[in-house]
Amino acid sequence: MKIGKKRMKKVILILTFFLLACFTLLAVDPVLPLEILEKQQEIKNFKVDVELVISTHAGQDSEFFFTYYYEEPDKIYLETDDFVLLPKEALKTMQPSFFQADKYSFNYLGKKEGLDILELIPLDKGEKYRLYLAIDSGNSIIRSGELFFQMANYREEFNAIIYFADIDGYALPVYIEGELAVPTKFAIGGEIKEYREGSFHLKLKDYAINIEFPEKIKKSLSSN
Amino acid sequence: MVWTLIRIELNKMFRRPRTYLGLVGAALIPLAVIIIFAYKDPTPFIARILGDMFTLSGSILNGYLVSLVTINHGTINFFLPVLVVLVVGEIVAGEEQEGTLRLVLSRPVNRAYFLLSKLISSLLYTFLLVLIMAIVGLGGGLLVFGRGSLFVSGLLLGDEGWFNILNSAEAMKRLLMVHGGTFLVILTITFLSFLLSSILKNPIGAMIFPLILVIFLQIISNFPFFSEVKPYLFTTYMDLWVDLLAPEIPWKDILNSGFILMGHGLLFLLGSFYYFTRKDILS
Repeated sequence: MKIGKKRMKKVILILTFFLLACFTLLAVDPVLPLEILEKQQEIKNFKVDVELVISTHAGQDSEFFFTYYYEEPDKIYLETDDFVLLPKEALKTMQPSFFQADKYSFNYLGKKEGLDILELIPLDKGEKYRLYLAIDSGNSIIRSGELFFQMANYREEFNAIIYFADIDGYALPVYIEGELAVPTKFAIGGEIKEYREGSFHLKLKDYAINIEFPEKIKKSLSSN
Repeated sequence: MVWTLIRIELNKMFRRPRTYLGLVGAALIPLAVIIIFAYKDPTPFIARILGDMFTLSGSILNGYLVSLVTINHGTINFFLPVLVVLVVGEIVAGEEQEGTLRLVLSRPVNRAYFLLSKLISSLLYTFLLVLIMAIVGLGGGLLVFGRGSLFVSGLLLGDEGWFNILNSAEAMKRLLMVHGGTFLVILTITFLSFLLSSILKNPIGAMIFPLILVIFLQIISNFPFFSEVKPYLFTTYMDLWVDLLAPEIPWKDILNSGFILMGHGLLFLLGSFYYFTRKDILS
């Protein structure tokens, strides 16, 4: 009888250790799919045709059609027959360096519909955005993202949903839609005095990655 | 009888060099804008004003911008009124000064019809001023610089940074509406000058007084401590065309301004007919 009790205690002790070990193993951080983000940095340059529609209220949309040229590290040029007016911050989000892993702290939020959800918080406290990415780790591709951002002199936070596609092995945005505050009154010097809340849709197509740009474009590329 | 009078009046008006001076003057501002823009694209200027927050690529210069810059506060509040009074201020008072009014009215001509024919000539002249500005500004601008989106900024209109972007089709529609609004605004000056021309014997007074009044009321309006008086001055409503370029057109405000201007115009007109039909023409 005494032997039986001792054995029972041993079994319970072993079971307890086993369970603890299991929980400890489960609690280990998963491997973050950062290599997918890092892969974006292999893009030396690209060009893409962009169609941007900004709606401030029903019946009046502002449409912009342009070709976006990017060259590392931060050179951009917008080619258009008309004109394009964009916030400089918005242009940065289209650059591969936007995903540079050393700019962020990461939170792994688990799996959703088979995709790894990753929260990216900029290390630079001056940046007024946070980004959530849905990553298909199996196929090494970003499927979508949700960007929460604040605009200068505007309290409310807006969000934009970004859809990515596999283009030559890189995850590049092909459609973005979201809300924003459209400036309706400027003061001299660019200070925004009045906003109107609106929405935007951005279509990106015909990517050409790591190509030789014409001389004219090379000359026009300037640091952002 | 009225048609005959109108024909005679139009004939008289278009024989006067000052009529052509006015019409050429209406073409001068858009022509000057086209020449200046051909020499210098305003895009870098606007990009500089927008500062570091925005990037402006491409060129904002197109025919619509020429038309927009042509119709600015200075043109509508000062230049067009000068061109209007040049002809309208003289249309009745000039005849009285020359002595032809007494001669004409000694014949069996209905005074009201006679004045009506002069009014229609004045309206046609005012309409031609705005039409020429539209044809040279919008038409000429599109011919030289082509189409594109319209960058609407108060900075281009002489106002504080008012801002909107209109697509080509919308820009055309809005600018035509703006020209319509301009005609309505200028009509008030036409009616005022017509009233004074009907009352005064000296055309110089009928030309100068409306200009002095408009400038005086504009100055008064700019004093913050006179803000209570501002709603009662017709010059306050002369900016109604600006709202036609807004992201969301404030139709209620525009209609309100339009009714006030038309109300003033109607008063000036009634005054003209009332006074002229009872006037003693002695000289």
